[in-house]
Amino acid sequence: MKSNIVISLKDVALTYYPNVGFFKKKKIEALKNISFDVSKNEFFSLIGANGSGKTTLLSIVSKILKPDKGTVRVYGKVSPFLGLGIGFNPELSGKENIFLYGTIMGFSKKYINSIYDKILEFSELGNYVDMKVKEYSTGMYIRLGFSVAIFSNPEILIIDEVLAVGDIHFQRKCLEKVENLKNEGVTILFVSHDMGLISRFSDRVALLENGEIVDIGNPEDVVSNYLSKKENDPSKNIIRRGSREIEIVEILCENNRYSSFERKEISFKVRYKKNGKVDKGIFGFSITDQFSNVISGPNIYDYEGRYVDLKDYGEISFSFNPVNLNPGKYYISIAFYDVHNRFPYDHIDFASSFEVDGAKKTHLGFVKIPVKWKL
Amino acid sequence: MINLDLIVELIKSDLKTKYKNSLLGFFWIIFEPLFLMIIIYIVFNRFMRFNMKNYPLFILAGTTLWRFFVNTTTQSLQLFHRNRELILKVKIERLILPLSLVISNLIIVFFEYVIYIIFYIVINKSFPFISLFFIPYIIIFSFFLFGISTILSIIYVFFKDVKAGWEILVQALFFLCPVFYPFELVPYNFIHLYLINPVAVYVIGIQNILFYSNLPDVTVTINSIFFAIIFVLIGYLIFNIYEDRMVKSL
Repeated sequence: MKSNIVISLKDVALTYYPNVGFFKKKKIEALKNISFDVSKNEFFSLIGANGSGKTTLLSIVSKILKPDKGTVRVYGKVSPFLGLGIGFNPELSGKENIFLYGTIMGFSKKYINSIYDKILEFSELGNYVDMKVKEYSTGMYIRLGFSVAIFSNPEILIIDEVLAVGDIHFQRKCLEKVENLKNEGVTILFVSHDMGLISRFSDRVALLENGEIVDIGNPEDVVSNYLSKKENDPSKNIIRRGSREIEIVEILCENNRYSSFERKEISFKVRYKKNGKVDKGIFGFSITDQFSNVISGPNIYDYEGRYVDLKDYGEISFSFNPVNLNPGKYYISIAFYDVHNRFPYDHIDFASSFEVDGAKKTHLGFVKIPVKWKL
Repeated sequence: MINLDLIVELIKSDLKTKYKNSLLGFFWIIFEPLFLMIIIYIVFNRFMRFNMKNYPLFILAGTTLWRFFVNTTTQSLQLFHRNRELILKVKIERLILPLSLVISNLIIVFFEYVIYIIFYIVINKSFPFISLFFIPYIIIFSFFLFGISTILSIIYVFFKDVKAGWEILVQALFFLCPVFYPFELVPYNFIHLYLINPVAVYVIGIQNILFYSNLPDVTVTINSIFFAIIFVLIGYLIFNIYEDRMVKSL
């Protein structure tokens, strides 16, 4: 059993002392008492807010940083992807950079020559490879970087958020490649903010908070634990804009919980008051997730083809059935716009929220649309 | 242990960026000393009537080495800082950075001295084979530069002030090196003090080989090798002690 463990950390701690002046001393405890083991061929992910110590931890496993305390044991050849295209010289062509970056990744020149065609094919850069890298788009830059790095034949692959950039097509290709490597027996240590990726690929997930592991276990549990903590964030900083000729005074929530057993509609009532001389406007709301991705944005003009006749004081109610919406917490933005739907009178993001009850999120995306299958 | 392919690629990348984008490219290596020669000739042989045979050649022999010293050390100050991504995100032997900086400057200086020798042949109508000793000599000097560059690049990570301080020190050192005046003019009483300055020793050495066409005397030779070994040792020691702290401070 013991021989199966390829990464083993015990009581690892690291403190930064940033240079803030000669006399002032500041310290940042980036990692505190980190202990965990990763077994061979495991897909192990780290999640947590920015600054929680994920990258520092990856650097320690990659042997780029040495911990102040604790022991780190890593068995096998490690390939750290903490950034792609590190050390690229923008003045040189893509081809020259393949050799430069390859040697930085520890390849011999002979090896690069032997895989050059494969790199080129994987990167899909074609003739662009003769162009200077400074003329590349970010996507092309990442493509070139990943294509070289992926040929490093690692036993342990360390990936830090590097797949977040680039186009969807190439991103999927990279993930497929990573999955292939996993099938070949490679151990993967992964960091991402994309909880979808984390849940789909990981065998185990650790949640970092201020340099400590606060939760470790199967992906669904840890991810939902993290999201439930994180979800408090958006409503703390409500974003409000608009001329306030119409002002939203009060938002009353009549029902903010939907379950597939009760099927009771989510319903809200909004009270407004008029400050300026407007008599018509558009009222609408939108449903978003905690990252302000809009799921739906209904407004009165779209649905009914008419405007709201605005009174000095008035109220508007709306209710809807979040059918097929995946279980989870959602946010509601509420807004009054002018008749052209261009300038906001009052627009409040994250004004309120509702929850859809149900089993843990297993379905990918926001909604489970009805599908007719034919097999 | 040391990745030779990486050193070669880093040097290639450095030299290509230096010369690829300019119109004249690699010819700048010729134009720079040529231009300097013409200016020195006009100023000292026509205007000031400085009485020394082949004075422009004398100056060129010293200034080329001096510029090697100044360019390398000033570039080394921000070396680790400039390459922080390379240090923080990839696993490489970090001493490769000062090493390839010195070698890439060494290559340029090598060509500059080849040009110097061509000038020498044209002016003196002779080619002393002893001039070829400049090759091992600038390699010894490179070891000294490697040591001092490593020290400077580490100090800079902790104290940014070292940059301003170094620039002042370099200006002072310039007058303490026999670049514009022959070493013989230094009063005998001060010679020992004068030779504490390592750069002065190397300048004297290279002038012996390339201008006076004789091998440097024993003291200069021993001192040149001594300074190279000492500075490489100090640099290596400081690097080993401070590497981890430096990486964390980047």
